[in-house]
Amino acid sequence: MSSMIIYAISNEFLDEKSMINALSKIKEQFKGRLPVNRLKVIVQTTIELMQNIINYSNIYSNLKEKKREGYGSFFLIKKEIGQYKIITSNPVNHTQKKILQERVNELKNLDKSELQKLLKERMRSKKNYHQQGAGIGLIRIFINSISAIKVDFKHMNNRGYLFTMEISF
Amino acid sequence: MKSINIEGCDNSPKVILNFTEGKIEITGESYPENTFDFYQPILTWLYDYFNAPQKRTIVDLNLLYFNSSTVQVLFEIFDIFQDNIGKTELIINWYYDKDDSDWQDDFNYFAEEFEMLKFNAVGESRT
Repeated sequence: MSSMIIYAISNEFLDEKSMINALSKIKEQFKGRLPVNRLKVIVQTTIELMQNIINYSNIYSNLKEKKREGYGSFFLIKKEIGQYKIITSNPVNHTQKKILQERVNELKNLDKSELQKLLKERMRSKKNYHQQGAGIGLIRIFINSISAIKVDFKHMNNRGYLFTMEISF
Repeated sequence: MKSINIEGCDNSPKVILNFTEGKIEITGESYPENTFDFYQPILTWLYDYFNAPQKRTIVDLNLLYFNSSTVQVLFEIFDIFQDNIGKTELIINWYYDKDDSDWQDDFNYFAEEFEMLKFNAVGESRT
C-alpha cells in the first residue's frame, strides 16, 4: 500500500515546548488541505498522545516546577489511501504497561455509542480529577479513530516496554 | 472583587474575568502543561463571584483545541454555573467554527449534561 509521511518527529526528550512546535508545524502542514473537523481530530489526538508521553514516559521531571519531559518517543503522521494514520511510540515501565493494557482492553470492544457513554461518565466523574484527565484522552482517541486501534508492547529490557499505538482518521 | 486578565499563549487561553461588567471570557487553545494549576485561580474566582454576582453575567467560551483535562475543568465550571442558577441572568455563548461539521459533538456533551443551563451556539468564520 502506498503511503506518504506527512510529519515525523523523534525526540530524545519531548517537553511542552517541543510539543507546541510540533503542533504548529502540523497545523501549518494541513492548513487548507483538510476539512476543519478532520484537522481538529488530528490536532486534538496529537495533543492527547504527546501529553501522555510527557506525563507518563518521563524520567527527568522537575517536580518543583512541574516540568516534565517524555523520553525516547517517536511520533509520525502518514497519509494512506483515503485515510491518515498516527503512529506513536514511547517507553513505559511495568506499572504503566499494566494500566495502559487494562484501559485499552476496556475500550477496544466498545462501539462508538458505548464509548460516547463512557466518555460522558468519565467527564462527570471527579475521580482522579487531579491525575491528568482520568483516561478521558484515551477514550476520545478511540472515538475518533475510524478503524480498530493497534496497540503493541514490545519488551525492551527489565525496566520496561516500548508502547506503540496506531490510530486511523 | 478583583478582575483577572490572563494573556493567552500557544497552549493556554486568554481569560478575562471582569466582576464589574459580569463578564467571563475564555478564548483560544487550552492544553496547558499543568491544566488544573492553570485553571485553579479561575475556579476560585468563579466560586467567589457567585457569592454576589452581577444582575447579568455573560460567558463567552471560544475554544479552538482543548485537552481532556480542560474538558474536566469545563465540567466544573458548568457545575458552578448550574449550582448558582437564579442568582444572575446567565448567558452562555459557545463559539464554534462554522466550517467545522462536527462542532456539535463537544457542544452537545455540555448542553445535554447541563440541561438547566441555556447555551447559545454562535457560529463564526475562523478562516
